[in-house]
Amino acid sequence: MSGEKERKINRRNYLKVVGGTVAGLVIGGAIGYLSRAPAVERITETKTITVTQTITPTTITQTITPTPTKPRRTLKILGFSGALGDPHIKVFEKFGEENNVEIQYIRIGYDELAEKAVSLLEAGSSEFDIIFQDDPFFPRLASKGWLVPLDELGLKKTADIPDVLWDLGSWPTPPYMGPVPPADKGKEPHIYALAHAGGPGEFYGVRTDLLEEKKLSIPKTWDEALEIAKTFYDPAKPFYGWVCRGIKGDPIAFDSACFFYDYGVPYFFDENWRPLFNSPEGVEGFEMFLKLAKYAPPGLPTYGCTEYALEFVNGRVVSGMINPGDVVRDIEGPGSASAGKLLWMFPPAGPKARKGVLGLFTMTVNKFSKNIDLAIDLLNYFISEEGQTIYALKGGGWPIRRSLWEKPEINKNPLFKPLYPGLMEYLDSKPIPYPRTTEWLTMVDIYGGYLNAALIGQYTAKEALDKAAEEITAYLKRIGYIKG
Amino acid sequence: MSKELYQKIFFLSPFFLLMLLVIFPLFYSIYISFFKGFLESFCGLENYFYLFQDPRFISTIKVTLTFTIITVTSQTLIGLLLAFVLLQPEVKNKSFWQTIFLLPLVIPPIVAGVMFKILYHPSFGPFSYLSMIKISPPLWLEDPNLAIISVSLINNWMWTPFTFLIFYTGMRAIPHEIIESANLDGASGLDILTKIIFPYIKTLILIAILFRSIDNLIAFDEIMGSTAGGPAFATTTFAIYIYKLAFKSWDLGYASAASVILFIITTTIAIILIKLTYFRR
Repeated sequence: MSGEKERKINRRNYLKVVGGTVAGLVIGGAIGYLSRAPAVERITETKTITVTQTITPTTITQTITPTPTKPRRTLKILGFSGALGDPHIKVFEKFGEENNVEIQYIRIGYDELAEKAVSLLEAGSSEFDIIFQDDPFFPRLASKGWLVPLDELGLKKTADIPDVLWDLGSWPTPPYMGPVPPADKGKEPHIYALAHAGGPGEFYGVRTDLLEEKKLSIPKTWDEALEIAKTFYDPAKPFYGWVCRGIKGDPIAFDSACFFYDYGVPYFFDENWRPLFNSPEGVEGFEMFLKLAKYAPPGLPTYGCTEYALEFVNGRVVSGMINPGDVVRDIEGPGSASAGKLLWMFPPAGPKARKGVLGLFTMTVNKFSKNIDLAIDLLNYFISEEGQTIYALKGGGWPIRRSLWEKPEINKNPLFKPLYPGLMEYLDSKPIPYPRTTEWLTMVDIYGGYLNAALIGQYTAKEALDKAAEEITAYLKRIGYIKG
Repeated sequence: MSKELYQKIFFLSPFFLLMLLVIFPLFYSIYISFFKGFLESFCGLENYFYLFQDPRFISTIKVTLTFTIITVTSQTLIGLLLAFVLLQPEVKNKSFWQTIFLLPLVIPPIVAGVMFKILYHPSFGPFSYLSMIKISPPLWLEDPNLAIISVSLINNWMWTPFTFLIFYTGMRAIPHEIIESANLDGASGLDILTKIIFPYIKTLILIAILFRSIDNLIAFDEIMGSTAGGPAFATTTFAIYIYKLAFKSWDLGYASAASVILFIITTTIAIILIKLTYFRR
C-alpha cells in the first residue's frame, strides 16, 4: 500500500518536474524572444560565414562604430558557400558600416540553395531579404511572383554593366535569349535578378607556351582546336589534349552548349517548346564535343570543376572549356603549372556561328521581405563603382562594371588579368543562356543524363539527343508546355 | 486524475505519436500524389498513369532491384564467411578483428561515397598508378556496366560488418559441444557450416536479408556521394530519382506517386521476408 503511494507520489513528482521544465522553457523562450533588445542598441556587426553545406552559421562578431543618425536595421542574406560567395563579404561589410545595418550573411552549398529558396518562398517566409540563385533557377521564383521587380523598386540600371547581364536577370527574358514558357508569355518584363558573379560562361582555355613551342597558332575554329588537342594528346606521359566538365546533368550540358550554337542550333527549343537540339546541326555540334572528349583524361564523364581545374593546375592538359567564375583562382593562382600561361578566350567558331553560353549567379530580393527598400539599397551599392571596386580589390571577384576592367589597379591582379580581354569580347557577343524556363532543373537532368550517356559510349550523339528530346517532350506535354 | 486515466494516457501516447510521425506522413504523401506539383491542382491518378509510362521510372526499378540483389547476396555470403572464419579456434585476437571488421559501420554513408569516388578516380586515385606500368586504370564510375558494381562495393564495404555482426553473434550462441562432437565425428568445415550452423542461424540470416533488403531498396547517400546516379542513368536508384523529382523538379505530386510505388514494393518484399522469417517454422 505504501509502495503504491510512493509510486503515485513519484509519478506526480515526475510529471511536475517534466511539466514545469517544459513550461519554464516555453515561457523563458517567449520572454527572451519578446524582450530582444532593439537592434539600434547593438553596436556590433554580425558577419556570418558558413563554409560547410549546412544552414547552421558560425558567427563572427566584430565591433564597429555605428552611424548615429540612422536606426540600426538587419538585413539577412542567403548566399553561396565557398569561393563564389567570398568576394561579397567586404562589400556587405562596407555597406553595413556606412548604413548602420547588421548584415547576416548565411551561406550554404550550391545544391541546397535552389531547394532552400523554393521551400522558404513557397511558405511565404520573410526569413531572408536577399537570396542568391544561379540564373537558370530564378525564373521559377519570378514566375511564381515570389521576387520583387528590382527595376520597379529602384535598382539603378547603368550602361556600364553589359546589357546581357540585365537581360539575363529579366523575366520574361528578351526574345533573343529564346522562348518563354506559355504561362509567362505576355507578362511585362522586369529585372528580378542581379546577375553579378561566377561565369559569365564557358571560355576556351589554351596553353600559349605550349602552342609556341610547337609553332601552332591560336585556334579560330573548333576544327583547329581539335587538331591542337590531337597534337598534344599523350596518355602515356600522361598529358591530355582536352578537358571540360563531363558529369551528367548541368555540368556537361553547360560545357557543351556553345557547340550546339556554333553548329547552327539557334536555341535549344523553338517557340512552341519543341526541341531543336537534336536537329542535324545539333548532332553535328555534339559530335564535335565528343571528338574533343577523345583526347581528354579517362575520367572525363565524372569530371566537375575541381577535376578539370586540377588538370590545368597539375599542367597535364593543353586546352579545354574553362569557367572563369569557377576556376580562375585555382588555375591562375600560386602553385598552378598553368598560371600566366593560359589564354582565356571567347571560344572558337563553328561552321555557322561563334556564340558563347551565358550563365551567372544572381541576387534576388524576397517579395515577403520586410526590408525590401534596404535590400535594394544594398544592391545599388553593390553595383556602384565603389562597391564593385571593393568587390574586385578586397573581395577578389571580377567586377561587372565594364569601366573597371580597364583600371590598372584592378586588371593588374594576376588572377584576373588574363580574363579581361576575353571577357569583353565574350559579353559583347550576346551569348545565349540556358533555355529560360521554370522547369530547367528537370529538363537538364534528362538532357545532361543523355549527353553523359553519349560521352561514355552508351549511345551515339544522335541516339542520345533523340532520346533526350523524346523524354523532354513527354515531360513538357505532361506539364502543359506542349499541347496535344 | 485517476490512475486508470493516467494508464490510458500513457498507453495511448505512443499510439498517437506513431500516428503523427508515421501514419500521417504516409497518408499525406498518398494525398499529395493525387495533385500536380505541390497541391496545385487535383489530377486524380494521372501521376500514376504517367509514372508507368516514364522510361526513367522503369529504369530506376531495374537499377534498384539489381543493386539490392547484388548487395544483399554478397553481404549475406561474405558476412557468413567472415563470421565462420572468426569463429575458428585457430583465429587469434578475435576482439581486434571484430573491431577492424566493424569500423566501416561508423563512417557516414555520404562520406564513404565521396571517399570511394576519390579512390576509384582513374586520374587522381590509387588506380591511376597503373598507367605507370602501361595498364589503363579501370573506369569504376565511368563505365555504366561497372558503375553499379562499384556502388555495390561501397555498400558492401559499409554494411557487410552489420551482417557479420548478426551472424557471428548467432554462431557464438550455438552450444560449443555440438560443434566439438561434430569435429570428433569427422565432420568437415562445410558439413559443420551447412548442417549445424545454418539451421541454427537460419532465422538470423533471414532477418539480416530483411534488414539489408529494405535498407538497400532505399539506398541513397553513398550513391549520391559517389555517382549522383550516373554515369548517364546507370546508378539512378529509386531514392535518387524521387529526391530529384521532389527537390530539383519540385514536382512533389509526381514524386509522392513514385514514393507510394516504392513503399508498396518495399512493403511487399518486407512482408514476404517477414513471413519466411517468422511463420515458416
